[in-house]
Amino acid sequence: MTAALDAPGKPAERSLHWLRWLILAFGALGVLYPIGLFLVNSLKTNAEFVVTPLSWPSVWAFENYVVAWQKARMGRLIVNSAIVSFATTILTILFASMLAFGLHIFRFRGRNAIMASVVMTLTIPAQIYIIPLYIVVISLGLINTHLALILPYTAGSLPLAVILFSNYFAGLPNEVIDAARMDGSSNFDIYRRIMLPLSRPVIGAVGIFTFVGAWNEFFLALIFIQNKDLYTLPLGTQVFATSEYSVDFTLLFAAFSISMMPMLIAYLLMQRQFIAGMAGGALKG
Amino acid sequence: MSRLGAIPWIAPGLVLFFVFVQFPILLQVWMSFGPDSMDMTAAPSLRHYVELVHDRKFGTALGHNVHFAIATVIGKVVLAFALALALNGDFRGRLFFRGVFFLPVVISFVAIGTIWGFMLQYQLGAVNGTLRAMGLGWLALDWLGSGRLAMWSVIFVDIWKWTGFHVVIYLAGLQSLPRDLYEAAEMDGASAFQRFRDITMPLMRRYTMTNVIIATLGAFSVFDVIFIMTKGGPFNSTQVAMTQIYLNAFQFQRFGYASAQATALLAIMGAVSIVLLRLSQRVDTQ
Repeated sequence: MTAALDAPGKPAERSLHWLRWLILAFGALGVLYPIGLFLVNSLKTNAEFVVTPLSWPSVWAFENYVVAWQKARMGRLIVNSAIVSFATTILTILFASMLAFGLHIFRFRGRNAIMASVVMTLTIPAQIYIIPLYIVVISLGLINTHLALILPYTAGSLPLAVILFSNYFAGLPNEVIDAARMDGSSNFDIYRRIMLPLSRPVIGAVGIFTFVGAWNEFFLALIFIQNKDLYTLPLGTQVFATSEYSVDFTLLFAAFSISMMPMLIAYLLMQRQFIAGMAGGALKG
Repeated sequence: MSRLGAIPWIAPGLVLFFVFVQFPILLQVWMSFGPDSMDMTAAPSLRHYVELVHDRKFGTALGHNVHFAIATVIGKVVLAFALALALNGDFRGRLFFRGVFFLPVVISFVAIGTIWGFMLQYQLGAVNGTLRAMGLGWLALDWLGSGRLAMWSVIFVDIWKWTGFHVVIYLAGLQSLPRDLYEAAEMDGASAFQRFRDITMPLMRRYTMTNVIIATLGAFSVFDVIFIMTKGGPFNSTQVAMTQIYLNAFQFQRFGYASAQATALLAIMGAVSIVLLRLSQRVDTQ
């Protein structure tokens, strides 16, 4: 585990130790400095920012946040993003676990073909088929509704979610299901009382990558939502940035800072789960 | 057990998946042979594909995708490998640094594009501000406003956002390395550099392939970072396939032609992933 960099003592390896801290410090500074500077500037008056964009604020302009909250309708945007993201996450977990369970329990011919047809599109992002998707969304009368986002997001999350649930179910000992069946449990009981509780780690991983994906998605929202009352955070802040307020830089900074806060707080609280959920899928998929 | 019993379990997911993924992909291929007007009775024709082959703008845009792909893949892989090596091992602060590197992955590109849009802004941006303060004013360039530099700027921002993701994949690889191999090599008198070159590097190839595949496919469908930061400009220097498709479909209402472009892009991505998967299989069997 201590491959090449973790053996202090000998001179050559001690210098490697310095190299490690140098790399880590540069990396961390590279990530934190732009975000930090952005947050600091969001607390300046616009007049001060234009003169000294790199300094500490001489007057703290907390009112930027109050004004931005109202002008950019941040409360509305956060609620809309929450509706879309939670609905997408719940539907994805439900449909993916049911699909994987159905294919696990009923071992009929053609189940591998069904699995393959879902997995095949794993690497195709929704924006590639945005034009026909737009036509589907219009034909179903979903344009300018949150369902125009929730349903495509859910469908797009299904391949990876189904892979993760299927692999997990396949790894569980068959005795678990057999024993329950002996006791006379129905399939529904087995799904709800045994399989779902057992797959908590997968539910967590699927939940996180689905939620973060839906929360940050911009392109589909840009095409499908024109009603201001339905804007999600990325779309609403982007529109705000190109509105008549675009010259009030620090007001914009405040709006974007507010828009990042929910995700930053969630990430701070559940860093480990976020990293495992978002990168773990790529390793298993 | 009867296959009918499976229907209530698998139908909801499969129907949703068909309506919002599989059917649109098929419809797009069909639309690419139809007229722009969405007249469903028109006879299929290849004219959009003929136009596509002669479309200089789309050709240039695809060239930008290739440029973007090569530069971001190299940047992400090299940086992520260095950061993962530095993160590997047991020491205090490891989780902190890992958490910091991964942070941009969870922030939306809309916010990141805005943050870096201001960092790279010519007059007030921190990058030029710092350069001028260091007496390097001649290096303070118009990073997003110059046709020569804008592409490199969005490449940089894309690397900045995704490197942490690739770090975590490399870390998983480094942590799966067999420890006894290193101990045996050390017993045999292999230096730290030799152990790195002869054990770490070969065993990490599969993880490099995973990272290359993910980053390459992302590069061919890139849209958000470019739309937010440059909108394809200045002077079309950052136009990529997706911005062209967006313009043709949703600004010029040319659904048939844009469908042909999207179908071509999908075919290119398919070809690229087949080549990369072949390569990674060869790496695996080595």
